[in-house]
Amino acid sequence: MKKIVSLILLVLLITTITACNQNGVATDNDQPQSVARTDLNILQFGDLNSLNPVTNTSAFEGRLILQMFDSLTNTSPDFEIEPWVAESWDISDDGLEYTFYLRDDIYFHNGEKLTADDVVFTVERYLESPARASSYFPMQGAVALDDSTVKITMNFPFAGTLFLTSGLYIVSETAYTELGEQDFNINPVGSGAYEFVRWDEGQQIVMKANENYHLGPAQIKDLTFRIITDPNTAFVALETGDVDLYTGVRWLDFELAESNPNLATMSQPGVSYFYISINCERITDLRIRQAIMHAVNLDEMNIVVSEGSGTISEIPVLEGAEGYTKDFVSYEYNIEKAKQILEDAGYAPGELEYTYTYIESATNAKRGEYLQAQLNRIGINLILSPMELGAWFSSLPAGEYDFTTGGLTMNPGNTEWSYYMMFHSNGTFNTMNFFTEEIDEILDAARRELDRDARDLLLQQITKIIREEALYIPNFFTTLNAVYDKGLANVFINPNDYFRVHDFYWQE
Amino acid sequence: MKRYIINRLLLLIPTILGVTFIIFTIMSLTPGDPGRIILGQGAEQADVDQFNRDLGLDRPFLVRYVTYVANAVRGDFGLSYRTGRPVYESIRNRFPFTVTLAFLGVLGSMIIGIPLGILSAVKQYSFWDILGSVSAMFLAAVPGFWLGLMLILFFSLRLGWLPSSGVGTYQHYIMPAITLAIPGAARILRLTRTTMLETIRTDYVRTARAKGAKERTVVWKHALRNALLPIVTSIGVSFAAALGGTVITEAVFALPGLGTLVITSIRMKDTPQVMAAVLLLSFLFMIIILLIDLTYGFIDPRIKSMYR
Repeated sequence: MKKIVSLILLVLLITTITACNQNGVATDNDQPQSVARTDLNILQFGDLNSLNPVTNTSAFEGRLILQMFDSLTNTSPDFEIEPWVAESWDISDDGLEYTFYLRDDIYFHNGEKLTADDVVFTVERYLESPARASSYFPMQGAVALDDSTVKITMNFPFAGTLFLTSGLYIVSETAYTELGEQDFNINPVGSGAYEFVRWDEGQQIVMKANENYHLGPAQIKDLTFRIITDPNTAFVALETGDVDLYTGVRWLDFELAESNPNLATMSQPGVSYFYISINCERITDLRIRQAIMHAVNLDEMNIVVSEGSGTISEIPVLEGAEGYTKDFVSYEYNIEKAKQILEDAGYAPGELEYTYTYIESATNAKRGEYLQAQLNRIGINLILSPMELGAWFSSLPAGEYDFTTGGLTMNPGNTEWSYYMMFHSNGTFNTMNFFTEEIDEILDAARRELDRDARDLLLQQITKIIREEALYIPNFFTTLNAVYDKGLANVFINPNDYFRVHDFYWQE
Repeated sequence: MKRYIINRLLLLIPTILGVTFIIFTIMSLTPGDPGRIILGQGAEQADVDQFNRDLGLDRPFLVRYVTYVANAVRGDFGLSYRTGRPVYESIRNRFPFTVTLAFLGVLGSMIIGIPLGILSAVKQYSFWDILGSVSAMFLAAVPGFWLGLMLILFFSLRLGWLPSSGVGTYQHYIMPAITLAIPGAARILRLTRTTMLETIRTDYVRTARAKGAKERTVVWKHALRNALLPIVTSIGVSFAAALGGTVITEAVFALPGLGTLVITSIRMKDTPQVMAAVLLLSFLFMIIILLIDLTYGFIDPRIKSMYR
């Protein structure tokens, strides 16, 4: 018996070792390859719900959809609108009718030609979809004038229309109808540079190059998005060459990557702005809000929360973005001044006590602890109340918080969309609950203003008001850190983490 | 014996009902709103409310529970809120990975734990015994995520022998299995040592020695077989627990298993998905426990005689 057990153990041991030696997945990063690779593995941080542009809700699904679908128009990296499926367009004088002229050389992955009917079908699906309705409500509908001309009608003149059409990814009407929405979610059929191959739940999404792509076939033929949810594992996969591109790398790992000769790095301010909302229905006294502004040191908070990697900004827009102005009330860090404001307003130390609710995470906890310490210095007690995602969402409409975490994607060319959500009384992410007719009027006007400069001025007014009224504690724009294999060339990643693999190639 | 099995199987019904009730209650009581989570912060409240109504979430708790059980009895476990697809699809996709991992993990802990445990007991207070006990204490205390990462750093990054993450070949399972096996091995080692020490001191082992049986026969045939009962229980329970408890290992090695599915679904308030996964796990747990009880009969004839 003992012999048998030892024998089994020995056999197991030997097979394991020899197997590893024979066809082990040795990393050949150090050896120059004679033939350029044609595959690419991209890290995907978490599994997906849907690859259907009509139903998906998260940005990290969006970047996969971008590879497989073509949008009616496109937003360039410097936030200009450029032709894509539509090669040109006319806008009626009243701003209510947009006529798009489509390219006639675009084919879906199922071989059918992309026609005006597919565009109309897509618009109709978008308008029906709860996930899209809040953005696409200015659109009334679309009609096909002929095979390659589409007229989109608006409910009112809307300045951001061409930004909306840049997010309008055309789906194949035939495929969508045949499969039905649920199946299309996991078997998307578009006309983009990559064709969907398969989705192994929790593991990977596999795509292959579309050889009939209207901009020419991509050089990278086999594209895989590998799902890894642990940041440590993700970084090791990058180091071992199991993945070639990883965006959103943590700061500590990014520093490691910079010293790794096999890896190239890229760092830029992202588009996610973080702040702490003050519930103005509960903290109604402007003087308290101002005192809080003076009590927070933005540099310190950046270091505490994100190892100093964020791009600090008092306003939710960066220079060059719509609505940016230098002319706003800035609150310098000054504890004494903060104390003085509270004292003048008649609040004794320890009299004020507030609650900060946030989605439970290490970063949010650090944010809370920092705020707690600072407010404590000016005599305000802060109770931290971490919550599950679902509970946090439910706490928002009820207004059951004094402070809550805010974070929103800011599109530099279309600030209006985010400002409306954050500050309009109908905004779907208005967590500051500061409702005035003035703000609503300005935002309504901006929504309809077709002239970009005039719209910019309107949004600048909002930028000034939100600082003057001290509606939120500013944090920073997150930094988008990308790391990729040095052999990969022509890598361009937008600040919003979007990229087109079609442009990438391997150097020999 | 047959009656015993039938009784045990019938007992599964109230237990499973109890499990469904508890999970359903917890999922309903915890705050959170599937519509809002799924449609995102940009969606209008009216759409969110409509979405929740479509899911039937506006109906009273008991109505929802009874409907759920009635459908489940007919084999309809519902659609996932998150993906809108039948819940069994995700489970079918992920279950094989979890079972393989749990099986390999338990197998690994047996292969390491039992022989070392026997060695420690037979050579009590020797160098090997102390080494075994000390390493068992150390291994039992090692956190899984740390061990997993160290293995990855060494075998994938330094040596390049094994893939760091994902699935595909059997090599992908080596490190996750070791990560799962190590803490279990420590437990089994200590258990084996204790029970072996007890049996070695019993009269029948002394008798066996007295009648001149070889030491090997005494240890393997007389002592080990009698010491095996608690070990078998422990292994069975370990396996059942591993089915639901591989979350951390799954995350570290990017394995698409059930644990990850359950955690994701809980965060998304995806009640049907959570229910189905937990039901399957608890059902398996009970079946495994039943099987353990039955194997007692084969290992120990005294127990077999007690089944009636």
